[in-house]
Amino acid sequence: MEKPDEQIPDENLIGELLSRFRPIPSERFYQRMGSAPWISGAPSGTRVSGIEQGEKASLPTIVRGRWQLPAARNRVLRPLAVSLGVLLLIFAGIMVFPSVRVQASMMLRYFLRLANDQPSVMVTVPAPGDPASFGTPEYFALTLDQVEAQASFPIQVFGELPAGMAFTGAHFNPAWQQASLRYKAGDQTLILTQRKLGIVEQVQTVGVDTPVETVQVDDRIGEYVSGGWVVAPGSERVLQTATPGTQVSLGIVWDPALPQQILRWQEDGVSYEILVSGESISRAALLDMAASLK
Amino acid sequence: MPGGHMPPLDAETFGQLYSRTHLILYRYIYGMLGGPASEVEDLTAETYLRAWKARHGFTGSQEAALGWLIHIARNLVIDHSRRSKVRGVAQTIDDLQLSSLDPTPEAQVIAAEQFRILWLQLQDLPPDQKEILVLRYLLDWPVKQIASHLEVSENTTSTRLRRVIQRLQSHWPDKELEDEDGEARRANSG
Repeated sequence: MEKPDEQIPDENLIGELLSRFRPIPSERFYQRMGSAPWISGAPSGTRVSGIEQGEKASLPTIVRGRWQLPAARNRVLRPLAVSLGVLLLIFAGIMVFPSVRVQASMMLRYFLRLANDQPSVMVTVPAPGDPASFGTPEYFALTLDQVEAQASFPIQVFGELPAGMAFTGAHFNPAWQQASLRYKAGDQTLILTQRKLGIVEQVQTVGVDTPVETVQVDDRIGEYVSGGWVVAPGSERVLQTATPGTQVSLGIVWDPALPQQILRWQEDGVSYEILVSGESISRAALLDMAASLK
Repeated sequence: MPGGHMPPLDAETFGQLYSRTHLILYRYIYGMLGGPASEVEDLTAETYLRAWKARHGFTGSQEAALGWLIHIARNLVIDHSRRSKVRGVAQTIDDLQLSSLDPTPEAQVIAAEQFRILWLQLQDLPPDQKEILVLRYLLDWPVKQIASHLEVSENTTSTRLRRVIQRLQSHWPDKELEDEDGEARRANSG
């Protein structure tokens, strides 16, 4: 019996189905590769003392002591890392929602200082079947080649990385000409965002009293902030009880002790931002990494 | 990836090569092996370890380096599949996630089912035929790049690609027969 044609996918559909399959390795893979010989072979003048067999990989200790993350500290940070997805959701919301900007008190060079430390933001509660949202590994499903093929400007990558840290995937927004590259080392996540200037304006907000430090990135002037927004006490329930897919108003508060750093600067018509969660990368190391972009 | 000549594969250069290529290799191996993800990860790691050991024998461009890694991965996958057949290891299918572009839950379910059938069909193909689909669609390689990698003409590549797709279409299961099979199995098990 001949099969009805409508059951058989045509060439385009077969291609589309296969093209939409973008698997990414698990954290287990990156932990394992964090002790690979070319990493422990001391790129960037650093050397790894090694991860013991079977140990849940955190950032390996660097002999020269630049990126050290003691195991006890790591245990403290783990709950924070678990909530990173929510934090990044807020982070993304704050960057783009104009309602927040009304509350701004001062526009700095690359940051926007809010008038109070406990604003509220509108966030969309993730729903099953949504495209992967910012902060999830699935969001960063592209390879560097795929991003470079779409970008109208040269994509920069780090010439120097902390030992154990590796590129895990990228995302590209063609309308904004914005590339986000994700790196991981154990519980530490680093996101490097580069966006062509002149297409959309995107601001990053900070609390009313947050110190915003002027720093030098190579020969450019940048701004550096430590800390970040977290869900205000009592507001967690809003996310837990809201209907998926709806927008909710979420109370947030600036936490200066949050182990997160943000560095922003501009160069050659491109805006750069490095967001690091975790404590094992020092401010000086972050600046070195930024200067190593090429 | 730019096609410039690579410096000698020292640790730093090899690390950069790994950063740029590991998602490509992972997806290549996933397509060629079919899963499960844990074995795909093992073979991806093994590919880089073998390449690292053999790095002093490699001289070529960045593009050639990716081709070199893919050849290593291909051989590993074929060896692994042979051993699995000898040991009688059952093929398992991961909970494969498609990036969701379909507007409705119904469309998503249909796309997921079509993909499941396609994935099973893919795993039944001989390695040469499977590889050309993986390179074209999982890795997004243009025909020209595939032709260069396989060292055949672009016309030959296009012809092979078309034949593989026709084969998939001709082996596509009949939904009604599948439904009857499913009902029969349920009746027998009940």
